[in-house]
Amino acid sequence: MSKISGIACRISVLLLIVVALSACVENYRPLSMDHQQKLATADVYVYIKQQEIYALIERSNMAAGGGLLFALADSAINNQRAKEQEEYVRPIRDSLIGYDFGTALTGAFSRQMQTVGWPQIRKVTFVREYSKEKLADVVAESTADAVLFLNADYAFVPNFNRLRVATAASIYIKTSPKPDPDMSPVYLNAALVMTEAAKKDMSKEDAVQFWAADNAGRTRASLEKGAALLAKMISYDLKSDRVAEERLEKADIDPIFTDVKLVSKEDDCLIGRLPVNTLKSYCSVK
Amino acid sequence: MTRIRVLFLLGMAAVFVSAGCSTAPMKLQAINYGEGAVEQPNAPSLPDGCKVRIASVQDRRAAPSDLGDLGKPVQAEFDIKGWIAEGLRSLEKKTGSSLSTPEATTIDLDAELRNAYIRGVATSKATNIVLTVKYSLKDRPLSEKNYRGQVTCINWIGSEGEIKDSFNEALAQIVQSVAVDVSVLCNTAGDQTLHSKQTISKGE
Repeated sequence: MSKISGIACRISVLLLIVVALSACVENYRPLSMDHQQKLATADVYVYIKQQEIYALIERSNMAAGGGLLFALADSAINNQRAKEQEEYVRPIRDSLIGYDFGTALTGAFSRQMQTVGWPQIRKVTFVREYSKEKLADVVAESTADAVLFLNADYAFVPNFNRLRVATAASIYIKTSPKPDPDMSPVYLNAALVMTEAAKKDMSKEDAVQFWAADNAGRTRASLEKGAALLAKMISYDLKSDRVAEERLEKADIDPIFTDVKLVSKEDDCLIGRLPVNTLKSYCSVK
Repeated sequence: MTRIRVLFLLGMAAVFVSAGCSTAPMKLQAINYGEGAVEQPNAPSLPDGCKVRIASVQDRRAAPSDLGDLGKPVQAEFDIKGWIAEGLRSLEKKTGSSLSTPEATTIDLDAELRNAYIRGVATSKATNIVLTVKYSLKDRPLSEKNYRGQVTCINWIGSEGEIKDSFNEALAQIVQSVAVDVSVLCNTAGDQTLHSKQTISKGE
């Protein structure tokens, strides 16, 4: 009996966690043909939480096997790694003082949407503070058919060999009166750009130098290019049923997912779609 | 007994899950410079006759209330420029060095806040403040320099006190670096300019 209760207990906790995680985790939702036809104009609302670039850390995971002692050890190791990463990224940050990625991203989206011609962009707003309530206000006050909401992020991978620029994108149809803050989007996806230092096998110190050199010129250029590619990928993804159009083509674009659908090639970049439908681009910088 | 354990575990899971998904911002009502600020034992004093005047403090950030995110947004509901000025004004008390300036000198400081944020990194928190300081002597511009205060430490419970201490410590690092530069400028009565636009921080 107690064995059955123990199993029930574990299942209950697991179920609760699964339900909660599914509530927090975003998924993929293509823009239906019906919504595409109704969508002529849009406002773009860009949110970037971070004030400066940062570097990801490789998290210690000794506690995976269980145990408080290991959890404490993980915490100490992670703190040391966080300190090191903050020191490593400092010269790049110092060279980027005054640089605003938000401006780059809003500019890239304005240009891209203008080139594509659909949807017509009425207003582009960049914000550092966001809440569901605020977004609901933006949707209610919009004079366009919908609001394209972008939640962007940019960071170096732990060994500084790659710069990652990403955005989650969602579209909310204009409603009046003010929609519920828990409104669901009619479109949802994410796009990711990985820019790799062309020179392979660099030490972390050399990689930091690489990105910090010339007033962080390579970092700035890669961020600008990343912003343009994000805009390109999202605007591409909005039109028609892209997933059905794409064909599986073996592309060496992702070290984990080898069955990526290749969308396009341009300059030093490959654009593909991962099995989870996220759009991903790989570029290299010399 | 087993039922109690099940309920306890479900309750705990619900608490952790709701804490994980909660995005209600933490609103800081005030930060008082000096409270919890770690003054380094070797903090420099200004030479006798060397004075500073805080001419202005500007906030150049896009969102003045944004102080980053530590699991939830951290927002300032206080005069952040006043807090920066309070930190810089502590330089006025930093007298008593055995050195003295050739003549009484007052260096004017115009400060611009570029960044101020905290962010969570795994189980730690990292705080950064970036301040641009323009130095002048009797309306003659001397130099301009970027300063960074950077603190990374374990995030115990993400409390308001922890966050405030972290910001104060980062500002204290900047104040200390500014004190070093003011001393140099006073000793040379502004003849020696600092490396323009150089960013310095703790340890340099």
